[in-house]
Amino acid sequence: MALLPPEFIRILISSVLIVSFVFLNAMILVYIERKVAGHIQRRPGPMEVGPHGILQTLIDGLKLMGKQIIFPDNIDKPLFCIAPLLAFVPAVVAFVVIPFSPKLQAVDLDMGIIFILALASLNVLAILLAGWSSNNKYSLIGAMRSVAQNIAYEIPMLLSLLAVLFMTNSLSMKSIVEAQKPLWFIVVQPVAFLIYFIASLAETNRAPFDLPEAESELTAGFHTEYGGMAYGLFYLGEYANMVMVGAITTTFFLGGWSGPPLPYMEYSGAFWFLAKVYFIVFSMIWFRWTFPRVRFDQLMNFCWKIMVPFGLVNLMITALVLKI
Amino acid sequence: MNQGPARKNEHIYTLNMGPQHPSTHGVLRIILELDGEYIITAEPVLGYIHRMHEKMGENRPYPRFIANMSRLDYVGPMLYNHLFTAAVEKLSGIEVPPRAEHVRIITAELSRVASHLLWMGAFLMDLGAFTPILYTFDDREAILDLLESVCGARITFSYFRFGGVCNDISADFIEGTRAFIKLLRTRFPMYEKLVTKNIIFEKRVKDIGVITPEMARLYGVTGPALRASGISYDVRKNEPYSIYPEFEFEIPCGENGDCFDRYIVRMLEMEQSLRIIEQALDKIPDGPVMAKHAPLKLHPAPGETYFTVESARGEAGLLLISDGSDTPYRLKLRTPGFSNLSVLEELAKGILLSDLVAIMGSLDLVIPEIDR
Amino acid sequence: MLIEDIKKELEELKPESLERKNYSSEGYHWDITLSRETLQDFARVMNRNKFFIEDVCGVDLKEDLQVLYHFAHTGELCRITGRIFTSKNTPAIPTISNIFPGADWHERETFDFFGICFTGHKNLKHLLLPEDADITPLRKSESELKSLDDLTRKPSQRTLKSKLMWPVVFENYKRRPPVKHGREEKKS
Repeated sequence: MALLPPEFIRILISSVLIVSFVFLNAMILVYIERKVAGHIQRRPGPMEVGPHGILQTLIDGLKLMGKQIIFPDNIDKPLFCIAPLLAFVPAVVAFVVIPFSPKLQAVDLDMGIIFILALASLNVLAILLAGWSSNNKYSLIGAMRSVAQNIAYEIPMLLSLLAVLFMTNSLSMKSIVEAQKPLWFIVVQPVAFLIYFIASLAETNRAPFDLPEAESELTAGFHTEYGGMAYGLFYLGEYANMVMVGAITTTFFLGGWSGPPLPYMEYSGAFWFLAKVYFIVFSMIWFRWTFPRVRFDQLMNFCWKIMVPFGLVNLMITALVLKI
Repeated sequence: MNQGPARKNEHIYTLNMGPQHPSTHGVLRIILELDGEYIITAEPVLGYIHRMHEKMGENRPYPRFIANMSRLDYVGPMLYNHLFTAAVEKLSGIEVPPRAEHVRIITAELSRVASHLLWMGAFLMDLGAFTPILYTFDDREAILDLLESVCGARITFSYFRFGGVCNDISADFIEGTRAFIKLLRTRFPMYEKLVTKNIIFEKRVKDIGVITPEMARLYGVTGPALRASGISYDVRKNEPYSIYPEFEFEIPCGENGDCFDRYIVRMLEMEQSLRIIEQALDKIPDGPVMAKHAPLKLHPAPGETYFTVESARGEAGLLLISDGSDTPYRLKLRTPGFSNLSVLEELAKGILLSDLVAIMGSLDLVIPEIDR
Repeated sequence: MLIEDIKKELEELKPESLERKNYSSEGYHWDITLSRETLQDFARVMNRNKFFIEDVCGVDLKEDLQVLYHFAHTGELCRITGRIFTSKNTPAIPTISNIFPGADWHERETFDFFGICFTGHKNLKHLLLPEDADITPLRKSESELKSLDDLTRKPSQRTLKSKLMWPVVFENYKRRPPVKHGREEKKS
């Protein structure tokens, strides 16, 4: 053991922690989503397995793992296999730069946010591959929608983040949080926050922007042909992305780990961080079970005609104010 | 994906929507020619649950066909019960006691409200809103409970008989219905807040799938879909049957004939149905619920009769030709859904796939009724 | 009155017969028997007077096949039934789907059930039956067939033959109390 460099051990431990965090988180989130959806719809949600159905997602996960993955005829098999991995892995890897608390961060890259955004945009590729390789027209339509949607919404998302980056002069996640010591950026940059939040709903394919998997139109969209753990990975990826979006929002606009002091704040700041993340995720779930789905052309119009101009104006104002 | 012969327009492809698809409400299949997401042609293919009710009708005595009526349209079965029993009564001249007429109207209108509630949930589900269906089902459940208490069934009611209804309603039923009306009235504002005023919903359904009055006439579109186009045609008013003329109610109409108007018309219709039920509950006389001279074995004299009622989806018609025996010689069902769906082919030209889903939802398709 | 106005136009078609029917028993006002030549003109008259198509339906009779066209009006109460007869061996009738596109499906349905060919129909294939079906389910066997005369109402005939009563067994039927809905229970 002594031969191993300490940095390696550190990476090993942190990656194990992060993967388990993502899995555990997804499990809890699925449970929360089903419970919240249930209560919004005046029904109890899962109640059978464990007290208040708390073990339901665990059992569901086991079931998914135990299932055979079915390969339909005439699919592009290598791509079909890669797609779920590609949906899941980048979503997990991005967590290494998330500052849960001052001390709880795997790596503090100078380019933290660029790293996250680069990985997040791989999600499009996964959906495109899944849709293309499935040999199913519904999947293909879903994939086409997803690509158009994600590329379009990346622009307002970047514009809104850029406005914050102008103020921090740093791309490192940690220093962005530290820059919010006096005032959270949601107060300074409310427009950017709104734009980011809406764009992130579209980026994660959540309702009302869940067009790639629009159930009533495309049966299940890009993952129509997937079953078993391949489907499970898409599912995990989706929830990892949700947490990721929540984490970015928290870091950029809600002051990261800051909050009323707790003992061992350097570690326990993670509590505030997660509370904020879960609040964001909760509102995403809330939206999903309240709104109908928008239409595709309306979605694109909304992006190009409202979000992008607002983002640009906001950026310009930020730049002007900072210069003066 | 690239199999099949090369075409001139390679970007045009065929999508087979259904027979198993979440938003075809059963087993309707639509063959779509698509250019990207724009529909070039849509061809509905029917008959996946065709059961030949008309032949069944020719082969069984009149009373035994009542059970078929609820299988025909499982969403608003009381209305079809009414259609068949009233048509046979007309053919053979059976009179119905007033209490039975009132009971019929109360149950039929409850059934209409139940049908509209189910439609509303399913329509919004097609638009991607998952939650309203559970609320509307909750309300519909109360109606099913009420109807269960009078006839024992929850979906496939066979409650009407020639000359009346099979059970009298109880005081509990009347009280329960009044309570339900009160409850549903408190729910309408919530639906309006949650759904009608939602901007996403509005954008999805306004100016989508416009049926012009002329188009509706040529295709024989009836019911809420016709009234949304601004034509006030309701069999209950225009060609009153049963004791509908005794009640005060309005026929809500739209203006544009788009999906939004169809939605609004149905919402307002529920309120009107509640009004009818209330009046019927107030007026209901005492007395028997079966005619004294209702025959057990029916042998209507030879003749022909055409009878229509306003079902939840439009004008439902029944042509009965009797040859004097205990089975009809010919029984023809005119179901509104059939005519309403036939307009889809024309509506679907040049629209988006998502709009097709919205239009199909707004037409309120019940496939068993269409396929018969 | 539309019912009276339409009479002139219907008479101009020179139909084989035009009868005013008793609406309260038959359910329609005019009964017009058409020939193959006048069917399209009949549809045009209906179209001109803003009638809408209800349905097209076939009836198998001893002599011939009969097709009924039901029309109704949204403004006034006026229902018209058009009849046309066609031979059983080579049943063919001109289509009216070029005038009433809504007749398209009804004609296809009649083609399904009776094998009646609608000449000029653009898309005459099976609608409710499977594509490869070669049956005509609603045609009757020889023994069941009745002639039109047996099926028309005789004024002298009593409408009710039988006087047997429904047994009144439901009087003592114990109904179970209405199910209390979950919501109400919560409130109390």
